Amino acid sequence: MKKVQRVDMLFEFLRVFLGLIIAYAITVVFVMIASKGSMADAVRNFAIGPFVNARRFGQLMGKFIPYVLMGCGFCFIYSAGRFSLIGEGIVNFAPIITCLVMFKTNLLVGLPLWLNLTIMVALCAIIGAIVATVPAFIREKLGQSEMVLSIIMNFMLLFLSLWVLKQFLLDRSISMQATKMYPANMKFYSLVGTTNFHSGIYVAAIGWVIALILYNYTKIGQKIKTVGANPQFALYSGINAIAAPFIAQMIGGAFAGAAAAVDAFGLYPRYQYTALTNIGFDGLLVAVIARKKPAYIPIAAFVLAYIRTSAVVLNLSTNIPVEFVNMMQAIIIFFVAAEHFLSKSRQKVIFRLARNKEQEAHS
Amino acid sequence: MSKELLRMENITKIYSNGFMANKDVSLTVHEGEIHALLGENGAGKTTLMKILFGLEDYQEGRILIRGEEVRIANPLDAIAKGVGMVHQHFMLMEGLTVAENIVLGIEPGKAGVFDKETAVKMTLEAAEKYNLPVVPNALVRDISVGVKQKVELLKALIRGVRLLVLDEPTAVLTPQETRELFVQLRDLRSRGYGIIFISHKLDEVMEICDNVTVLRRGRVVGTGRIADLDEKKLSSMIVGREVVKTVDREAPRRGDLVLEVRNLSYVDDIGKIHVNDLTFAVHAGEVVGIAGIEGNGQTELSEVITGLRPATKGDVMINGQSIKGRNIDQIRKLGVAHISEDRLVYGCAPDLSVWDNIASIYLSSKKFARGPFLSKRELNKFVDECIEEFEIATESRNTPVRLLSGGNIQKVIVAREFTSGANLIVANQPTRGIDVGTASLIHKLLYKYTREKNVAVLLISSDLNELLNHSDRLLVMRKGRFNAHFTDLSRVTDELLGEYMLGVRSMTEEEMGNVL
Ligand SMILES: Nc1ncnc2c1ncn2[C@@H]1O[C@H](COP(=O)(O)OP(=O)(O)OP(=O)(O)O)[C@@H](O)[C@H]1O
Ligand SMILES: [Mg+2]
Repeated sequence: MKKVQRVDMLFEFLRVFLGLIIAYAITVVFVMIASKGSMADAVRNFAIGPFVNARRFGQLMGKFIPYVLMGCGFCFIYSAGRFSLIGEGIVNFAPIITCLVMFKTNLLVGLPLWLNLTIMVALCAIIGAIVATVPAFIREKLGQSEMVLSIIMNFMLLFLSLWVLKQFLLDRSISMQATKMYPANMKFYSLVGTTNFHSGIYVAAIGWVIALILYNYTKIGQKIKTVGANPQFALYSGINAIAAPFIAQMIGGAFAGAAAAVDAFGLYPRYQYTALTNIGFDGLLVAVIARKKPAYIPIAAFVLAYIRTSAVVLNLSTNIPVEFVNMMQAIIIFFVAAEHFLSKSRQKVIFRLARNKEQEAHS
Repeated sequence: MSKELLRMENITKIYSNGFMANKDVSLTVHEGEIHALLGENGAGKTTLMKILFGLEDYQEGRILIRGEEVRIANPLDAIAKGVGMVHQHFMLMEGLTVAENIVLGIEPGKAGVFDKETAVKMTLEAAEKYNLPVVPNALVRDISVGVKQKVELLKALIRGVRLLVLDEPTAVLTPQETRELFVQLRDLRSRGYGIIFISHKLDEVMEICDNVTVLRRGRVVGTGRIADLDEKKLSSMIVGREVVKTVDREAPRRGDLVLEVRNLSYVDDIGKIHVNDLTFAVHAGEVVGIAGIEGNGQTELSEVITGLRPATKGDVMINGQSIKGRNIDQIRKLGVAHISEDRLVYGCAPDLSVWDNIASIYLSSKKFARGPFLSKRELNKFVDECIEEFEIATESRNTPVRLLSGGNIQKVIVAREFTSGANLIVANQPTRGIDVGTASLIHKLLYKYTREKNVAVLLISSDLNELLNHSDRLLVMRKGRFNAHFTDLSRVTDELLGEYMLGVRSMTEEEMGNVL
């Protein structure tokens, strides 16, 4: 049945690809109706906008990097059958605490860049894991909804982060609400010119490998999958059905923390989040597109980063309203994530394969 | 020659993963015929019946009902066309009454107001007409499995079906109930109904069926009149070779005490007593059987012993250690393996692969582990061996268990538990729904494990032949207590056992003797 697997992969790819094409087709139609400027321009901006110059490609990569980490984290939470959205709040919270260490202590001063970055990412991951224990505790020990609590907590974390910022870290010399500039040995550096494509990519790569190993090759990864698939069966098999999802949520929190670190210290010169970033929700989408398999996360993260960047480009370079751009995104995501799209044709190919195999066996 | 009721012609079914479950299958059923549909686990019996009942589509072939070609879209459509199906696992609403279940979907009444009286009347009329006595106002949750089956039959009959599909109907019945069912089926046959009867129990097939169609790997490999066949021929048609069923049993050499249950009681949340002050033991090297009508505490007993439920009173000792205060993992490590009766709830995770389902009990142990890592290579090898030894029909070790046939899912569970290295196997319905070939393999293994590896087995089953042929001692459970204990099984008949199970007879403590 190797062939069937190949067919499956082909159709996975086709689904993403055709999803994009269909979305473009719809764009063309709408652009014809809505746009006053050149239609060709609009379509081009949307389709290849992210690739036309280094700066835009950098933008894409700048989104891609945290998406990979956040997506990996969600694979664990989601595989355990949980829906903690706490990653969203961690993006705001973990870096601001790290900024306290950065600006209010001497611990990082004078250390080499690589060491500082390692410490900062690790610190954010630890904070993320700790924060994630709150909804996990509520769910596993008290039986309440981790989803509701995590959404409420996201806002609490946002306001707490803003309070810390204003109280301790505000740079009063500028008009915006932000910290001072990060010291040169405490931030990721750009890999291509001055674009957003920064050295956080290494963190994403390492994080991905860790996620792959954790998910596929360790006992805890296997426990998480088993509990998520059937908690009663897990219990019967002797698996601790409380500990495994708890740990899954902590792993998710740690990855969210790492995603926060690469975003906050990679894309911006100073801490300047004043609202939720949406990276948490996007991470969930990435995990859904990747069918909660860490192996597919980089592709899924790239597709989403691409769509998001296209939308920005389109929005900036044409007079098409932003609501419309958002709608385009929704359509693409729908096609990419929808399981039934193309399933009929896939069926047909597989039937033909089965019949051929049958004939071979008989001749 | 009576009239043709159903003709399925050259049906080919390919599942979405490319698996061809039926290939050119044809099947004809006439009025007044009981037609046996036989085959090994995974042969495609249920698939074919799901097609007939509108639950699965098919790629080739046609279905004719009374000579007219039809396309059956869904179960409602099937019923409208006169086809009814009684699934192996009943599909009744436990909280509703018998009458409410029977008229569900065709409720009498005006403007959405349920007319209870008419429902009861309809039920009684149907019960009378088809000779299937039931109590209309009883709650389904309180009635026995035998009665539930009658309710399922009535449910189909009241909707006017003429062709009934019964998927392994006798798996859960006592001999008395089976006999009663057969009387009713013969009655339906004489009224001109057509019946398709799926079973792995060949003696029953010989007794009640007229014709037979045998499937193997999705193809028809034989058809015939039952009158021209015998059990031996049937079983070799099914597996393609001869099945040697009987193992010559030597007397067990009883070894150390492995399982000791003392004054054990289990009372559930709503105060119902399931296990009532039981004391017994199982020694190394012996198989102790527990007979009983379903719902008399056997399942609760096995679940308390294996840690899925807490004991209310009393204690369970395994290899000399109490299970008190231990979690399931720790109890398993005392040396317990458990084949749960509830195969889809406890026994497996349907969405996970065969590999995942076998690996699940090793995730907290040192076996197959390198520190926090799983040794995939060793596990792969182990799982492949399980698949081979237990003849699990699966594409690969990575196939999700939900895609296997009912019997093959059971094989995965049995394989996992038998190979776990435990010295106490609590086996609850280990061969339910398993074909003759594999059932005899499992029985041989039970025998081998007890005699050669000194394993102790607690065998709970509703299959009396299984209990009588493969136990060394036998206890009968009724209402949470034992009411019989046999140490010499050679004189025990199905009949006698049935009477103890139903409570018509019961032994005194002296008669039972030493149950330890
Ligand atoms: N949804 C599905 N997708 C893919 N394969 C399936 C699916 N359902 C069943 N199969 C495969 O089809 C084959 C036939 O299954 P089926 O349930 O018809 O067997 P069966 O004859 O009823 O066996 P049993 O006696 O064990 O109940 C099996 O090998 C099974 O793995
Ligand atoms: Mg079946």
